[in-house]
Amino acid sequence: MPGQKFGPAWFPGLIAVGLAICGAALVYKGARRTVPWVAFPEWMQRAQSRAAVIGVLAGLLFYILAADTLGFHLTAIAIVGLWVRILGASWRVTVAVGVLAPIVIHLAFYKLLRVPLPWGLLERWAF
Amino acid sequence: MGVLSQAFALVFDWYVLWVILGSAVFGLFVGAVPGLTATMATALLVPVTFFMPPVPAIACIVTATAMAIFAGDIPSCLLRMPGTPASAAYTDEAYAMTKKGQGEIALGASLVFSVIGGLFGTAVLILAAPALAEVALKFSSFEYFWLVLLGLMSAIFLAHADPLKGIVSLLVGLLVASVGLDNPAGFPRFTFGNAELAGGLTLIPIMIGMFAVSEIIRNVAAIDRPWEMAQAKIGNIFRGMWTLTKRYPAPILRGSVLGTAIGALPGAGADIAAWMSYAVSKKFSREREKFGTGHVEGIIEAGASNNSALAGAWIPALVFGIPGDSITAIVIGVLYIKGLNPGPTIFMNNAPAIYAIFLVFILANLLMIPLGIAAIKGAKQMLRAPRAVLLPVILLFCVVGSFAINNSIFGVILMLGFGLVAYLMEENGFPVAPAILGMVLGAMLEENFISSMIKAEGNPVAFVTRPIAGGLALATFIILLWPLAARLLRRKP
Amino acid sequence: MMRFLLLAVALAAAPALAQEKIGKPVRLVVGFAAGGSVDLVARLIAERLSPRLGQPVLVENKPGGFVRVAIDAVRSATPDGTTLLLTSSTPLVVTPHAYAKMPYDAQRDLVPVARLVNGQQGFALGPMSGARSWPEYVKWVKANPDKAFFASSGVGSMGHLVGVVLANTSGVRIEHVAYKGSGNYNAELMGGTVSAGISGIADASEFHRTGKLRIVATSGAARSRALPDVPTFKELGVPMDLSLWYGVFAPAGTPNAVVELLGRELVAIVGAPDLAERFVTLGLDPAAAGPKAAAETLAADYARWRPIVQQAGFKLD
Repeated sequence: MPGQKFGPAWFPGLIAVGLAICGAALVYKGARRTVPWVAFPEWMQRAQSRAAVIGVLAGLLFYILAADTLGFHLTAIAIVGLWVRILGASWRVTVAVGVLAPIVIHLAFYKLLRVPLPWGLLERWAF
Repeated sequence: MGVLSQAFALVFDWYVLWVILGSAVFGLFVGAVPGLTATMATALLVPVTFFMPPVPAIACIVTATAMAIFAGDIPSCLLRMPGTPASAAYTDEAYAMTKKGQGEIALGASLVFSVIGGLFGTAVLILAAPALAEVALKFSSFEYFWLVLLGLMSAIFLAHADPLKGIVSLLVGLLVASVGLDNPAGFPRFTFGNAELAGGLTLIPIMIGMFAVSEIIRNVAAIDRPWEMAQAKIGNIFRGMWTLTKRYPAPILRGSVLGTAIGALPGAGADIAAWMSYAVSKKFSREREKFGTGHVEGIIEAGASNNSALAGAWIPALVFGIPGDSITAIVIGVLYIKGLNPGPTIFMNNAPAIYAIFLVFILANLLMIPLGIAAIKGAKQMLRAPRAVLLPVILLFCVVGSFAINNSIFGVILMLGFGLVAYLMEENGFPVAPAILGMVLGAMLEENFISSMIKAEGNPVAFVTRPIAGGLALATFIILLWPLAARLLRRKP
Repeated sequence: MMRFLLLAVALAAAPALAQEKIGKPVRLVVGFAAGGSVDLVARLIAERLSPRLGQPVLVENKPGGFVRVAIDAVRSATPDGTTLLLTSSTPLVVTPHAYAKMPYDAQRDLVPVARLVNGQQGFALGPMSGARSWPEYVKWVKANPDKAFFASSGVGSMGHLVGVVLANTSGVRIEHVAYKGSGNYNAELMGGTVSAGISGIADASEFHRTGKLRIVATSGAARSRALPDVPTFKELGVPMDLSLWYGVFAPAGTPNAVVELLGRELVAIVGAPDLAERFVTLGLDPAAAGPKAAAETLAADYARWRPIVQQAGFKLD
């Protein structure tokens, strides 16, 4: 390209070199201590915590995969319900929050801020 | 003085005052929700302001953004989830204070000194805009390069525990910033042929992921333990503010000045101002070691800085029609639509409108006090909800916020991905803040370096021959080498 | 007999007409952030399109990758007229020739709905060279070859290409420096660190009006209505006819009836005198055309730009 003396690979290349140097320094520092290579956080031993974290991550993944097809509202009700329940709330609270939260978001984001949340399956009843 | 009374009449009109109140509440809401930024608030207001006459339209945007920049501090302090990138600079500090039971001091300081910073910036705008704008024009890519480099070095100061890991975090941030097509060569980097990646990795979803989502994971993992957050007291917000003002006059002034100056530079706004002021605060503090443990000094300086930067950004915008930050870039468009063309003519042809804008700035900053208090109290009430309700709701807001940036599910993917990355990083002692800083400044660094190199025809000497650039370069080297020099000097008997 | 035929035709057309109505809010996607000139045009259009369609028309900003993200979003949207793209022609007819690999093909993925306005690039001078006209600038460049840079609003932008073509055809050795958007270089232009800038007329017209900068030439075939006393490069002896147009596009597969409806409304909107005036102040010349004419222009431009881009050595990957 006329006039480009420093190409596009220059900057990332520099960063990579920096990372390599720092990485080496960290490995050097770490190798001198006697700590296991891989350590799992201790909450993974506790069933409730483990389930809760998996539930949160699964819900997010589900949203990413399903929101466009199912639509925001249905997906949100499902995942909020999952999260509230898995964090230990009663069924009544789960249903209440699971239905109310998406409604609040709909009013705030779709109506007020004009963010085009997908309707998905509910397309026909879109308002 | 006829102009001034005309300006008063323009502003103190029921319609305009209602607009101001409405946009203040809007700004508070947008700023407080992680994922919605002040710039987004402005973009969202543009269609609304279409139908308004010039003064209320500008009043709307000015008020909303002032509120939003402050409001980002509320979730940042109480939940470690910054509402705007500017708040991300000192979120760890504020959160540490909340955990110590000093949340009210952190929020109060953020509020009061934001107002002071904003008023300072407005005063400078009113009194010195044309002169400062001329100075701002002297900044070319050479000067910006050194400025950004100084900003990036702040990351090293922000790594309270392990500087090496801080640098790694920063480099990761810079690497993330280099993804995409928007680089000086127009060459698609790390895009794998995907159009979304060609647009680069958007900052906000990543920020939400790295701060909010990782924090939520942490809270969820501790679901079977009692929650300390509910215990955090928020008492009288103003208690102790006067004491703080007397104790830290220098940070207040320094933050306001630096914030206004950085805001006045085209292209650098509240985000950069907050980061640099926080680092400056630590550098010049007499209680340096307290930073990171929950110390209010940095919050005072950075809080004042980001609000004054908002006002400063209007200096080049009004005087030349050159945007001082991303918000004024949008505002200039609005001004053109309304027939208020920024530039020297606006001062001549439309003096009442300009004075009206100044009045609105003052009003907006003052209005922050009652509304800010209400917001803080409201947030405190919301925190009394049980975790099982609060966390899912916040997470849903985060998801929608990440989506709303570009109306693309890719934002949510980024949020989840980087949330996990940040969780892993922090579990291993790598601070997240430098990575965010790297992402904020990475593109600017590369662009200004390449532009400068092209103009200098590959000759690096040009980087220091311009007076301001030379000065900034000197400052950079001094800051870089000072600790080393100090240690060497101390060794001498 | 004639009347019967007409009636038959009308009846046959009726179902098609009945399907035309767009029943949902319309998204007008723009490839740049809010506040720029493309965004401004989009908002002006959206404001007037809304009442005509009876549906809210919302401008959606999807910046990134020089309109790539926006194009991708539109081409993969449901082709029912509710998602439209408003863009300059550059990413559709110029950019594809500069990259070996493109993630989209404008003629295959999009269907043109209307052409709105034509736009030219303005060659703006700042105080650095002291020149107030093109001949003076040429002299300055010869005397200061190592300082002769021109800024553009981005690599691969029209301004960049115009500058490269200009250097090649006029023999004046100016070199390119890319910035991110014209806002970033206007300050340097006025501050005297870069001698010239090339971008859409709107970006510099306000400064030209107030005397801070001077647009000394434009890139199109005829003078711009916004700057009637600024000559074209052609008039100055440098053969050049490079301009772009703004258009609205729908995803491929959108039913003809919908495309025709939208096209009709858009042409009518641009024809309104007050909007035409606004466009002129933005440096854009109204040049409304419906779907068929826009498609022809798109195809013709695509073919026309290939040799220009290749001759200029414009290769970006």
